[in-house]
Amino acid sequence: MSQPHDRRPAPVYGQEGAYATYPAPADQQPAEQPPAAQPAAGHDQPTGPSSTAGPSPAAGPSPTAAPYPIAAAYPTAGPYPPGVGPYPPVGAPYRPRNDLAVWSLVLGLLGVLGCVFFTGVPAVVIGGRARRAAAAGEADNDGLAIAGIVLGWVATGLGVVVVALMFLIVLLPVVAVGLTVPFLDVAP
Amino acid sequence: MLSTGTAPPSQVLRRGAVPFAVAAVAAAGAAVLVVRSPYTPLSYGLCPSVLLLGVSCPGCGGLRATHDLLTGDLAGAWLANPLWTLTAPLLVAVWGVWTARRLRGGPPLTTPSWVPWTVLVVVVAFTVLRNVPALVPYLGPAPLP
Repeated sequence: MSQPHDRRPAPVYGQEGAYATYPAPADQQPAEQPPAAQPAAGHDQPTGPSSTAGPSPAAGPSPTAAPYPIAAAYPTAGPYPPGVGPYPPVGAPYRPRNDLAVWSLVLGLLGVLGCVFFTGVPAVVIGGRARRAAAAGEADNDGLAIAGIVLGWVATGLGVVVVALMFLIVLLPVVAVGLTVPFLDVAP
Repeated sequence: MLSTGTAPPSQVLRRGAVPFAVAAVAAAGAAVLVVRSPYTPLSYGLCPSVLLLGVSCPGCGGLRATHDLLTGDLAGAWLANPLWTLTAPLLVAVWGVWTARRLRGGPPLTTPSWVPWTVLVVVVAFTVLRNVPALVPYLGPAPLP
């Protein structure tokens, strides 16, 4: 029996209601419903996400209520057991961009193992984004990002060396033959 | 079906810049590959890994496979590089999802943590296996005609 405003709002930073705190169940009585009207009057659930979720971001929890962490708003399995959907488990730190550093590391490894700058350059670029995400608090694997960037640069350097070698292997014999031709006794 | 949310057109254009730039580069590369066939000897130079190390890298046969995919020769593409034949359509699909999400203005596309590690394992395994002499006819790049 979920109502439209049961949906947990998207976790956008700065938006009240994303991981806002809810008033303690004991403080919630029919008279203390938040000013933004609940469409289904008569629903007197003291707990659950329907109390002060998204629709009333401006109202917020009642000032006299004690702040109440989300975890305790689920005494029984509510409509949204913790961990459903793309959101991390309730109470876990919010790290949505941990994947960036992992990709940077994997691409760097592949670059060193043979793909040279083809995956080396993306490793450096994505590693840079991963470090910015870690600095912004959206990731916690900054060390992995640094490793990815280092490997990416090594792979790019290897790629440059390979290209130079190819150049030499193909060009040098041609140049050498061209230089020696005039000095051969055999007619060209 | 593709919604762009409530953003003004100029913002949608800005969001779409990177994905469409990527698509433009890929399309240009595809056009070059179709016109200049990699099956012509030395059309794209020599293969560094075969020349310098004597082994096939995971990309060996990739140009030929892409050319065959673009001209409809699936069997030839598979013979040239089976892994790329499977991966290339997946990459196109991922691009589609990424572009759709970006135009809609939603959260950035993230991959579950097992995806990059699986990619690493698969590519390394493919590289090793395609150089095993017994498997060369199945996984290695088809010899040039």
